[in-house]
Parts: sequence; structure tokens; C-alpha cells
Amino acid sequence: MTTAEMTAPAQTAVRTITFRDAIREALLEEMQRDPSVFIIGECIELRSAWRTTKDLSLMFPGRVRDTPISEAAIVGAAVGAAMLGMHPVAEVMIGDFVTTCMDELVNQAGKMRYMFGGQTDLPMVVRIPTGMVKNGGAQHSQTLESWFMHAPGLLVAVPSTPYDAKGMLKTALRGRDPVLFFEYKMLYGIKGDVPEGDYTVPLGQARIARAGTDATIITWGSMTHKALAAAETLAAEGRSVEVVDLRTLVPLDTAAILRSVEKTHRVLVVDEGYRPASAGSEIAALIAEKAFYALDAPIKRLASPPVPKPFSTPLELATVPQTDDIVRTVRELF
Amino acid sequence: MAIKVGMPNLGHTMEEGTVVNWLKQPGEAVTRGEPLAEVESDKVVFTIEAPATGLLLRVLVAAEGVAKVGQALGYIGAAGERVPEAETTPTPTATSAVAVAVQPPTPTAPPIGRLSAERARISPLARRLAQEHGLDPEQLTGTGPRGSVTQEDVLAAVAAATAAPALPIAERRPLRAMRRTIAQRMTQSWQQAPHVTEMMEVDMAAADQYRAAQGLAYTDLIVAAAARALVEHPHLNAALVDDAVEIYAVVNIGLAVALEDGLVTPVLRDAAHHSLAEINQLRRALVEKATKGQLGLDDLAGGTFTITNLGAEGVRYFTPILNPPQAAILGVGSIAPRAVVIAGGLQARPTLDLSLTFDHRVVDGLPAARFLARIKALLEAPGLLGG
Amino acid sequence: MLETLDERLGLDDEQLLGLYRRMLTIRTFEERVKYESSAGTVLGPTHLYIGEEAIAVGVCAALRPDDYITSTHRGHGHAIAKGCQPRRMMAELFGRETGVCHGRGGSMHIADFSVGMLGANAIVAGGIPLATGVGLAIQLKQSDQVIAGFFGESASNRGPFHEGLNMSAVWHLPVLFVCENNQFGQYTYASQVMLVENVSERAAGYGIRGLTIDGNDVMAVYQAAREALEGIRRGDGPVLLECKTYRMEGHNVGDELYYRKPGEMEAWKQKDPIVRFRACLQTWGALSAAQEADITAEVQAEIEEAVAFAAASAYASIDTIYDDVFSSDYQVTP
Repeated sequence: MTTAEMTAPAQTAVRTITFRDAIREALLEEMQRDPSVFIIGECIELRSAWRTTKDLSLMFPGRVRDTPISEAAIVGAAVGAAMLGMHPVAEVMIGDFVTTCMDELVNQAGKMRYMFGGQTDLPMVVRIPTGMVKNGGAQHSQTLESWFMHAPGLLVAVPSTPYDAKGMLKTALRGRDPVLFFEYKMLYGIKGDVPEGDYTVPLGQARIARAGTDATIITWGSMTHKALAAAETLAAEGRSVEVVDLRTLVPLDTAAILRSVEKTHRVLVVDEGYRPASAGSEIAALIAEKAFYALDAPIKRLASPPVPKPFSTPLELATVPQTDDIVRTVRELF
Repeated sequence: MAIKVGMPNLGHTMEEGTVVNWLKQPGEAVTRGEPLAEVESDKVVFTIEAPATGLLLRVLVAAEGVAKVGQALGYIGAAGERVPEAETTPTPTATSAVAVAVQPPTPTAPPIGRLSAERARISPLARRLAQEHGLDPEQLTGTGPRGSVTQEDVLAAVAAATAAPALPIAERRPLRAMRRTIAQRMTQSWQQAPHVTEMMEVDMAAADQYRAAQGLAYTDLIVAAAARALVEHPHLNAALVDDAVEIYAVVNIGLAVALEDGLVTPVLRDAAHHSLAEINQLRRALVEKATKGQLGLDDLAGGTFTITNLGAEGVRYFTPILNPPQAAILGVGSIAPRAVVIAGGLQARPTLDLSLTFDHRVVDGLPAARFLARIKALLEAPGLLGG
Repeated sequence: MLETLDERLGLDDEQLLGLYRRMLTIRTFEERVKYESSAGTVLGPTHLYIGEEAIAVGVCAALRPDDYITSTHRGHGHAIAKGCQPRRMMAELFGRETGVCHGRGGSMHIADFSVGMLGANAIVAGGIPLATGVGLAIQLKQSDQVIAGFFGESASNRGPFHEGLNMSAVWHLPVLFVCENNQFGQYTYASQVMLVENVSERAAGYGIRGLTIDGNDVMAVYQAAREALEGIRRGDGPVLLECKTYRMEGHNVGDELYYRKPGEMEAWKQKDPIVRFRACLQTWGALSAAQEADITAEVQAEIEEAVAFAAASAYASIDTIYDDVFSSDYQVTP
């Protein structure tokens, strides 16, 4: 993705801020810019469980509302409001809870435009803090974005840096389509360079987080950072590894994936979700279909094994791909 | 995990190679791309570059050791990393008290590098590349994961194939000792000495009569004549050694004897001091030994001058190659009736063609010509040669 | 029974005949759909509103044109009452491109945003959170519009009913929740699956007003709706209006009615809303025999034309199947 595809004001200060502050900045700026943007969710009025909406209710009275614990109503209300042309942001506090509003996401938000023959836009964003937290246990640790690749009509964003988080959330809030905006909780505290003021990052475009020639790692979200650490280790061994951060799963930047595989001929897909029938599976299948003759070794995938996340630390760590696992698996490509 | 250093594939018929020597020792740090070891196969010596940066953890095949293509010669990794044991199958010792049960390989498990007995394990990229270059994927050996053939392997095979001759070969004989030696010495001689060949005709009518009367061979007369001439022209009985021309004190004439697939040059020692009859005896003894393969080192060493004869096949003049370090060699052609002008008229005379090659570093053209003229004179008046 | 209500709630003859005509249109439409469905020209599962016309007509008569409704799988009546054209509805049921959803939705997803009909929902109770969201949008826009969300009594047993009503109540949203208690949830008596006899009793659980009325009396429905909406528009918060009726047909066309108590339908036929209202109009002198004949003939002709129009319309091209999954901002990859 080139700088030409991003919008940025001519003179901006760039500061190093956290992922969560980047999210908050996007919400704040878009609420200033567009009076139809509002936020509903559990415990968000004061600051949200993740501190991403801190003080926004003071700045925009009535437009940042705490809801009862009612994900179905939260997401359903976002659909209804979007049908009237508002730009709702619904927060599903923890990604595991998407199960409680699956109908509203899959059968309502994803289908309205199509089954009504294009009579309505659906400009809504569902923000979903997702993925591992330390010792979260089986029902608070999952990352289920793969399910939504399987549901037509939903866009799925998975930024991995503060820069992308702010820019992509702005794009989502200016769009006309439902966006499931997955925010990896483990990344809330990481810091990155973020320009002050307005800029956008398009959905559906991957970025080359690290260029390389010998092998490709395709990944997104929190795994991007582990992949980069692994690439650093492998560089010392003389292996030049390219890391492709997808940033979006729907639409998938298939062209970027194939370009990288055509260049390096070896690929590992790293997915924090469960391995079976995951986003990683879809990507691996696409590569096999479209870049078969470029492959010099079988495609490899790393993902969480299909077990509920155990609570105890050593067990938990063993059920998620770690940097060492990535290093070891890349070596097996040769 | 440690990185394997495998025996590379140096040619698409290569099955195994020999480690010539290691350029790094176990425990030494190596950088990717640095020369690591030299290996040899057929006539090719190849330097293996380190495939990774790290420590050379272990050497599994030492110098002089033989390994199959792809077999691990050693491992590179971080200090303390575990490396696999040697890939060679251990031979059971006779004194082993415990019988080791050997598991037969599962019938369905294909060998390393193969998908099945019929199908090589080859990456799609490598297969496509192999087809583009007209290589049969089934014949390639692989160094990739699970012994698969990779792009790298195909490119290596392509490089080796383009080095091979394009012509079909009916037969290939590896050089055996004699041929190898001839090849080496001819090359050495030709490359070091500037060769000049002078040629003369000799009227053999008198020699013919003399020889028949004495019961000798032509060669005996030629040996005697050459020996006498060398005594009189000692700078043709010499060699260039380092910075000096060494003129030999004795005339030892080597006689090139053709064998089935080569030639040997037994030496007739001190030819100048032997009578014709002795020369005849010595010569025949040497030739017999030669044809029976009984020549010893003593028979072959110490020549100062060589005579080589192609006359039997009808060759007239030729350009023999010097027998280093000798400064001169006499090539003997056929003896046949030729038309010769004598006193303004044509006569048929038995004529011998002589070719003298000399080392122009040691001898110049005129002295060589005089030497050759002397041989001619002696052969045309054989009575001068004595008994 | 409404015969005793001689104030016609301020409606003049034309308005009263309008109610009558609309009920008759719905009845005629549905009876024709039943026939066409059996003939195979109306495609897919079809759920008829016969016997319930008074509810849709009575509620919609109390709405303004700029108000909204959400509907259910049994939505033809709501659609006609809100102002959808029967010909475009019939074409939709026939699956033709001229249908109100271009053949994408069919019976269970009828929608016409141009008249504020925000869609039939095939998920039972699926529309309730959407109605909540529409109400929220209206409130944020500071408008005095309202939304009437229709659903059946069996929907009140699903989670989204609870979440949607509770959230609407907490925020005082301008929603009229209209529960059409037609005694059946698909092939099961409602009384078998809930202990309360009146769904309106559940309103107390959310702190809002609930009332139960005779759903087969169009004037009673109109009066109750009009009164409730006054308060709703004022910002008093949502109301749960339960209208008792009877589903004269099966759940769907082709339902063998094996579960129905004998004699029950005959008893309810005596309370047929159209028959009753006709008698009422005749009592008030608002409907002469000639007018009745005219209206009947006009409605018949309209439905005939609708069928002819539908039958003559083409299907959409299969080239369009990838359209309107998203806005034009994003393309779906086949």
C-alpha cells in the first residue's frame, strides 16, 4: 500500500501514542466531523472497559450511551439506526460475545442491503475487542473473526498498529457498509507513530510490514508483531522473511498475498484463531489455487489448536502461536 | 533447529561425492556464503558455501569420507543446539551382545525425496522449471523439505547439464594409469618446450645391404648412428633443468614401443659404447619385456634421448613430442623406394624419412641440423658404425 | 364490541371507507396469493395474514407517512397497510425483477423504504431490536416521528424481545411495540409455551405501559394505537400494544392444520374483522351496497392487475447476483 493511497494533511505532527488512544482519536474526530456518529455499548459512557471512549460522553452529550448487557439489542439497534442513515458504533465488549448477537450481525446487518434489493445503506461499525488476554479463560480469550469471512455482507477489519487503527476506523465510519472492527486487546497498550488530525487508511489493502525474499508470512492483528520478531531472528540466520500484514480480512487483499508468494515461493500463514476452517485455511486454499506453480514448498499454517483456551499460564501460552513457533515453522519451509 | 550442510548435487548423474577437506573446524563461527568445505565428484572439485550463519556444530563426514548427494556432512546452528546423529546406518559389530532388532521399513513408506516409488517429491515451482529445461523431474535429487526437489536443485541440475558435452558418447573410459600418465606428460612437454622439427631424407641402400649382411634391424643401425652422433653433438643429449642446460655424460636411448592402448619407452643404456650386435640384443630383450608388460622402473628411467618409429604404418615425416626433460627426439618414418635425383637423373632408391624435434630453448636450428645430417651420413655409410 | 362506539373516533366516511378498503385489499391479496402459491407462481414459503387485517390497518391508520414500521414473515398486511403497491408486492412474491426488492427478498423480506416499511424479517423477533434502533435514531435526530414494530406473541419468548423492550424503555424511545397475538406460534398453541395469557403483562417487567385489545376490531386498534402514539411522540417512552386475533389460515400455505382444535376456526369466523367492520359501516350508513360493490370490484381489479403485472415481468439477470452485497465501495469476489 503506497502513501499515495492514504490521505494526510500537508503538515501534521506525528506523535507516538497507544493503540487505544488512536482508536479514541478516530472516534473523537469522526464524532466532531459527523453529527450522525454515535456510540452505544456496555460501560462506555465514562471510559469503557478498554478506556477507548474516555470522556467522549462529556464532549458529545447523548451520543455516547451505556446500554444494558444486551448484545442482540445493541447490534440490532445499530442496524435499525443505520437504516435511518445514522452512523452508529456498537461495541461488543469482548469478542467471545459475538455469539450472543450472531443473528443481528449475520442475518440482519449482513443481509439487509441485499435482500431488500439495495434499498438501504447500512453505515454501521461494530467494534469488537478480541483475542487473548492473560489468563482470560475459554470464554474471554477467543478471536472469532474467521466466522465472518463466511457471512456475506460484512466487512472485517483487523488492524495491527495504532496508525492503521485510527485510519481504518475513520474509513469505516465514513463508509456505507457494516464493518466488524476487531481490536486485539493485547495491542491496546502498544505504541506507534500516529499523525495528528485527519487521515484515512483504506479497508481491503494489506501492507508489507517487512520486505523479504526467502519466505512470506501472511498474518494480521497481534500475530503481526510476533511474525516481525520471528523475521528478525531469522534474518540473523540469513533468511530474509517478508511479513504481510493483511489489515483486513473482508475484503481480502488477494493480490498482495499472491504477489508475495510469487516472489518468495514459500509461505506460512499465522492466525491467532482456531486452526480448523479458519481465515488461515481460506488464505492457504487461495494460495494453493492461484499460486500453485510458484510454490517451492508446501504451504504451512500456524494457528491455535482447536481446544478451549485454558486458564493456567503455561497451558494458555501453549495454545497460541508464539514467536518461537513461527521461527521454527519458517525453517521447515526450506 | 540446526541447519544441515548437505552433499550438493554437482551433476545430474552424480550419486555420491568425496569430502576433500573442511575449511572450517567444528566450533568455528561461519557466515552464510563463506567457503566451508571442498568436495569432489568425478573430475569436479566444488567449494560448498555455508548455507547459514552460526557455529559449525558438527562434522559428520570428514576429509576423504564419501557421502551420497543430500546426505548431511555437518550442521550449523547456535551453541548448544542439538543436532541429529550421523545419517549412515551403523554396522552391527560382531561382538555386540545385544541383538538389535531392525525394523523393516514399512512397505508403504516411499524413500526420502519420493512421493511414491513412481513419483518424485518435487515442488510445483521446481517441476515447472524442470519441464522448461527439458529435465526429467524423476531423475533429480532434492535438498528441500523431506528430500523434495526445489527450484535450487533444478537450477543446479541445469547448470551441470549445460556443462556436459552436447554430443552423444559411445563409450567413456576413465583414465587408467598409463593413459593418464601419457596425458599428463604430453601436456607438460608440449606446454613447456618450444618444439621445432627438422626433417631429412636418408638413402638407405648401403644400410640395407649392411643390415642384411649383419643380421640386424634398421633400428639397430639407427640407434647406433644416433648414439654416435650424440657423442659428437652432445648438446642434443641434454636437458633444461631449472636455469641450466645439463649435458648428459652418457647416452641412454629410449625406444618408444607401441602397446595395445599406449606406448612405453624402455631405455637402451650407454648405447654409445655398445656394438651393433649388442645393441640388437639389448633392443630385442627390451621389446620382449615391453610386450609382456615386464618392464621395471629401471628399464624406463634414465633416458637422455628418444627414438620413436611410425614407419611400419607408412608414416613419412611427423612431429614427435619431446620426452621431457630431454632436449631432442628422433622420429623414424617408413623406408620405401622413392624417386631420387642423382647426377641429374631419376633413380629409385630406398629412402628413410627422419624427423628430429628439438627443444629450441636448449638447441638452435643449425646445430640440430648438423646433428641430423651426421645421423644421415652415418646411415648412408654404415661401415662407419663399426661392429 | 365496537358496535356500541358511535363516535367514529373523528373519522369521516372517506377515512372509514379507506380503512375498509385497505382491509379488503389485504384480504383479497392474501387469498389470491394462497391460490398462486398453490399454483407455484408465488414462490417459496408464504405466510398469510387472513383474519388479522384489522391490526395492520388500524395501527397504520394512526401513523404518519413519515413514520416507520418493521414487520415479520407474516408481513403482507403490514406492507399494504403502510402503502406498498400490491403489484410490486405480487411481482416480488413471483420473484420478478419488478418486485419491490427486485426478487431478492420474496415474501419474508418484503420492504419498501419509500413508504417507511423497513422490511419483513424472517427471524422471529428479529425486527424488535431493529425497531429499537430506529427509535434511537429518531430520538438522536430530535424528530417526533415514531416506529411501530410488529411481531407475534411467540416472538415475545425470544431474547431480542426482552433486550429490545428493555433498552427502548430505559431510553424512552419512540417505539410502539405491536404484538399480534394470533394464538399460534407456527404449529403450536401459544398457550402451550407461555404461562401468561396476555403478553401485555410482560410490559410491567420493563416499566412500560402494556395493554391488550381486541385485534379483530379495527376501530379499537386504531383508537388504542392513536392514543399510545400521542404519548410516544411526546417522549413518554415505548408502549406494548397487544392485539388479540386469530390466524385463520395455517402458519404457511400448505400447512395441514393437524394441530388445530376442531370448531375453533368456525368460532373465530364469527369475529371476522372485515365482516364486523362492514356491518359497523352499514350501521353508520357509511357504506352503501353500491359502494361496497364498487370497492369490491376495484380491489379485485387491482389484485388481478397485480397478478398480471407480476406474471408478465421478467426475472432479474443472473449477472446481478453479486450486486448490492455491499455498496459500490466494495466488490464481492466470486
